[in-house]
Amino acid sequence: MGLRVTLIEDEPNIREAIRFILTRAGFEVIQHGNGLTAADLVARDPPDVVILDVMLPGRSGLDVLRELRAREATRDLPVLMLTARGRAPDREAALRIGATRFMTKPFSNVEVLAAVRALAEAAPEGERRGVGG
Amino acid sequence: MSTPRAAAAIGSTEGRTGARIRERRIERRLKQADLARACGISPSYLNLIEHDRRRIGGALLIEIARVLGTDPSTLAQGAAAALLAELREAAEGVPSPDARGTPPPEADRVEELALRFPGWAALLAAQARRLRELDRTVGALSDRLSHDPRLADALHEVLSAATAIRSASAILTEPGGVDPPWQRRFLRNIAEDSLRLAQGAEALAGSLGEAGARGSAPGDTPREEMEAWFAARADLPRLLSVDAAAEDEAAPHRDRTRTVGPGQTLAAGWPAPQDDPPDDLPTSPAARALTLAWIERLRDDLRRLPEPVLDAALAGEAAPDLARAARALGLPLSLVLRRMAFRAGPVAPAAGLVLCDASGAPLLRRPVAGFALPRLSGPCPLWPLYDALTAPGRPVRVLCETPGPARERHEIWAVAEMDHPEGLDGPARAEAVMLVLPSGATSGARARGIGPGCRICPREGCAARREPPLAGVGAASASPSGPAHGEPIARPEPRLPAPRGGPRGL
Repeated sequence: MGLRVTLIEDEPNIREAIRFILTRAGFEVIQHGNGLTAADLVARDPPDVVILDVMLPGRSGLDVLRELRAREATRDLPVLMLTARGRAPDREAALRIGATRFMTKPFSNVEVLAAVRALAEAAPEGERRGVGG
Repeated sequence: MSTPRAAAAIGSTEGRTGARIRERRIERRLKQADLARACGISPSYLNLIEHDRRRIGGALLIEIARVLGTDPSTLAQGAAAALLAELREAAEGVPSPDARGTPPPEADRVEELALRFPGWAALLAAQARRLRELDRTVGALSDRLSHDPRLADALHEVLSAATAIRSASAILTEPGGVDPPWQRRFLRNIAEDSLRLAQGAEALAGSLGEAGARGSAPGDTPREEMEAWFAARADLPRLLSVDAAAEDEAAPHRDRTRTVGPGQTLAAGWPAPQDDPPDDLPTSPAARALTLAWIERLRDDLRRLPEPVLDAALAGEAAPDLARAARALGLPLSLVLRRMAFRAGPVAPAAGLVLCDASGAPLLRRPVAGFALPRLSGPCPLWPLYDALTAPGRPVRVLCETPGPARERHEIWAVAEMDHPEGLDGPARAEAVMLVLPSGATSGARARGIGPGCRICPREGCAARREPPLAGVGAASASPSGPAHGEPIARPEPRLPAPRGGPRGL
């Protein structure tokens, strides 16, 4: 089983493209499209990496991140935040709340894949949830 | 921030041509009326010049210098002092040394620079001014991006569509290609997102806006379009001028004492077509209606308080008591304040104007140099405009100082009026007006510290501040945008590709 990525992004076509490239790269992708239930979804079954958009319906990605960092099960989860270019306050807030990395839209598929791989590699071997046992 | 020396150079008597003219006239024991007559101007106009309420240059300065027996440069030493002050201010903002180790400018040799290389000195000063203007513009635009939901939504739509198109295109153009079902799927996505991108770009352009009126900036609201139209109108005095005799003949029963408010005009439907409407009115219907309504209102003001009557009421006073003048004229102070901001004359008067309704929402804003008016973020709560709103009918007169290198001072008048357009049983309507006049007060006079608005105000320690300035940090709350997607992809999709490379995605 490949490493697992939870993708929280409300734009369906962006979600589809990211899911496609990650799946092709061997990742298992769980996708979710709103901020209201995102934190619960991730906490229930923590993945290896979370990709989290800032602009989400229902609840902002920053609030979701804040909750993930407040929960024991997800405190140290690698999180890649997606922000719109130009929104410096979003980036600053994301880092302050505890995003592991951020990426601005529009981004390239190569960048996303490289970022996810780097975040997954950075996690200690035994903590990679995609690894059996 | 300026040094005390720079501020003193700007604010001191030595920096003011008008004050120097007055000094020289008194030295030569000339009466104001005599000097005015000799130069071919009115005593009241010379009085305004001597109190630096009107700028002077060119032929008139030369003529005054001739009559006073001196040369124009002696009278205009203020211009040189202002240049030196600007150069010193430009040097103050430079770190010492900067990140690359470049030494700071030699501020103690600025006079030598101005004397030996006047052209370069003027260019430096102009570029420093331009940088400050650009800083203010960037601040205003950042303020706009942070506060304008239409602009933020439009920008988000464009970025999202562009991101989706970029990702799908990259997949389709990768070596090795993709399976036909996915090819079709991504091509369809590109088609959808291209349409979204076009629509989003159109909405963004609409938010930034095409200028329907001369001088208006992209993204102006109808009121802003209207204000920009007035600001760009060089022939405003002619446009607003009325032929009272002709009007009396055409409409003898017209009530010339009733104030015409834009709200009343708009409430009755579009303003009635004018006999000679300007041919370059804003194109958006709302801005056009507002502009026509305000033209009518300002013309009504002019009918009630013609220019010669206003001139006579203010003659001989450098800092007239406008409330007393209004009482003497038997007219509302609000009318006098509005007229002051739209006076005709050889030199446009430097007067700003802000009107708001009872909620504080702006009705009309006419800027003046040195007094910034915020676009979207709320204005400064310490503006005397709001003093007036809390006490309708009571004139307010306050000397205020704005932040910034020059710490400019303004004499501000304000008054609020209330009426009941629907009768006493109906709601009260309040309108407040604030007139901003450059002040000749010295730095020693006590002044109220105000700003352009908390979001873009650098004033520290203000008890009335309601939000951090732009330099502060704050998480932007995401607003729900786009469709409420939360459900998994319901449409059938092709089989996902098999993993490439090694297992586990690494």
